[in-house]
Amino acid sequence: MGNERRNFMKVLGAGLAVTALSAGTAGATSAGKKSAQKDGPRWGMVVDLRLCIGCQACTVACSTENQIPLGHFRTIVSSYEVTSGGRPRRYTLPRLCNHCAKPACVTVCPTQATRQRSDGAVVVDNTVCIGCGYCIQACPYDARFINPLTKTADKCTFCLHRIEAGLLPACVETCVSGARTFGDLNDPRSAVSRLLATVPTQVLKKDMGTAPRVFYIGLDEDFSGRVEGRQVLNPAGQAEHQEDSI
Amino acid sequence: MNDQIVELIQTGSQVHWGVAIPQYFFLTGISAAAFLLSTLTYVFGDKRYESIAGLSLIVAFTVLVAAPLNLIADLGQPGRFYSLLYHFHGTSPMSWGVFLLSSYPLLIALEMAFVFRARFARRSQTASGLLKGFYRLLALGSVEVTPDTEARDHRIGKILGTIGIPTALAVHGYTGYILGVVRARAMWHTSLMPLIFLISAMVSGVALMILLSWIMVRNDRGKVDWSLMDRLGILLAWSIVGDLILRLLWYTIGLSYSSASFQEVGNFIFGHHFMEAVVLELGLGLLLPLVVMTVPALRRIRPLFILTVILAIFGVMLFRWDTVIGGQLIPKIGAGFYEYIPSFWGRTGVMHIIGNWGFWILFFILFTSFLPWKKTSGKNGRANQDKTHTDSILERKGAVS
Ligand code: SF4
Ligand code: SF4
Repeated sequence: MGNERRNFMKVLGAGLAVTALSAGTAGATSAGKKSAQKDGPRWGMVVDLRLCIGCQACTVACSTENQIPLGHFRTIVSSYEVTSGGRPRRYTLPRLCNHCAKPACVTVCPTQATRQRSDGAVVVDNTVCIGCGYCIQACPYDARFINPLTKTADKCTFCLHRIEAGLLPACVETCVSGARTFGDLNDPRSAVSRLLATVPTQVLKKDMGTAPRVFYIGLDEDFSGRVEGRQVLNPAGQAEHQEDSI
Repeated sequence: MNDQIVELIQTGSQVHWGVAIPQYFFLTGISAAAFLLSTLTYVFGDKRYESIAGLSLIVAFTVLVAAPLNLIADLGQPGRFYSLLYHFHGTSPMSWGVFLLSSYPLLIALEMAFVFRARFARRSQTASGLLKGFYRLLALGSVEVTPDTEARDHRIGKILGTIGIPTALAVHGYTGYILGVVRARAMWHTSLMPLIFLISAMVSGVALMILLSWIMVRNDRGKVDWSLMDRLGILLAWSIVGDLILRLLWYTIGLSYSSASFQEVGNFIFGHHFMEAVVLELGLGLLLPLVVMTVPALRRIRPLFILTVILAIFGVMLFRWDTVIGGQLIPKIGAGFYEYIPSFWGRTGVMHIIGNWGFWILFFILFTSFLPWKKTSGKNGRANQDKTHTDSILERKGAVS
């Protein structure tokens, strides 16, 4: 769909892009909200892995937008070198909180600091969270961490502050190849709904029963769960050591 | 399909529950087991364990005072721990824990008050000044000691002890439940977990009580009471058998009939972590003590007896570690296994645990030097709760020597 349009807008410049996109994708959802849904929006994302080039622009945009402390990430693009039939290639997999329909993190939170909003976004109230880390254990996707500054659980919010201002999440807006599409799953006319209706999609760790609301196009089965392979670099491992010194 | 995968960038989180959590689980286990041991006397009236009943109660209590300190200190926001009380969330086992952790120590404290009341009352009769008032307070204001009041204390102690049994089971069972519900961690996600925790708690608790009896309890002739120790040794052996049976069920069903993710757990326990999980934990921590406790000839080699008891305690500690930390070393999404070595200082450091042990030992010394836990006999031989107990002491004076 609107990849050409988006790329064009990248060229036009960020300011114009923001306005145009919010009038485009997110704007369409708010229009849809008025007409089609009594329930309001249900936010979701589709990541087209055929388009992702692993540039980590989303990682950087998210970290800047949400001021994530060094060594922690709300979104990241896992990168792999895959050899099949003797031929090596790169495989990249953007990861973020799936804002699951049946979020394991919400169930176990002892204080209800983690909860799901009516628009489906799973959020943490960091004035209530006690930092017990139970949600981190329960999330099958490693989507959470304890923020060393707030000492509470932290994770992707779908950039709710931006959505509420009529903008797109920072990662979506910055994605150079238009691999990330965000919108209202309740609105059949939204870009995400149209993708879901026309292209086969997959989710990560389906058997966990969490019903993720981040969908992937072209997800290789070998990467949908725990990846079996050799590990060469683990930035989070380094972050563990940094944590005390922050 | 893919021949080889090399993970270049992955930020999956690693060990979030550090040293404090296995320590907490270990201590609540000790508490539950020690409490159950005390009920043998106070609820079931088995006089053979009478000389350690009071001590067990003190262990159960002091350990449970020390354990949450460590847990609270481990929270990101320790100052907010109280908010657990009014933000109750029914689907979170951690949320129930707060209520268990608040009611269970109160229950033990109350039971201790009734179990020790007569002895406090007597002390207040002989003490003077401030101390008199203090003992009076501990005797719940009633300094009378008659067969009637003793029968009443005994009755109330029995009721409290009876309520305490399910509470003690819950207070430790819930810690296993906390892990059991986490579907995302294949090693934790088994409904056997609360039971495995309870039975291994019995192993560590009975072993600790054996050790404490060896150090602190003397029979009427002022000697180590080996007949008591042997009986506890048999109890230890049975607990180990229970533990091994549950392990067998867990591992065999997991490895042969469960989802693929448990295969990783198998690779971890029986491969990557073989030394810790199999040699040390199962071999030295369970099998060796089992053999020594069940073969009388070996059991009578007393240094070996004590050594294996200590090994059993460490074995359970290691089990808690291997489960809580080990479970987190199997990445949820990343490749390979993680490694974890705790720091020395800091919130997640080894000193945190040593400090916690220090707290417990301090509480324990305070309580045991202050509370009249020793089985009183000899010159003022009728110091126990009721007539039956007095009788039992008299019986045993004959039997033990
Ligand atoms: S991805 Fe993890 S943190 Fe996000 S909603 Fe699902 S379970 Fe919760
Ligand atoms: S860390 Fe915070 S949000 Fe997560 S389970 Fe604990 S209290 Fe809830």
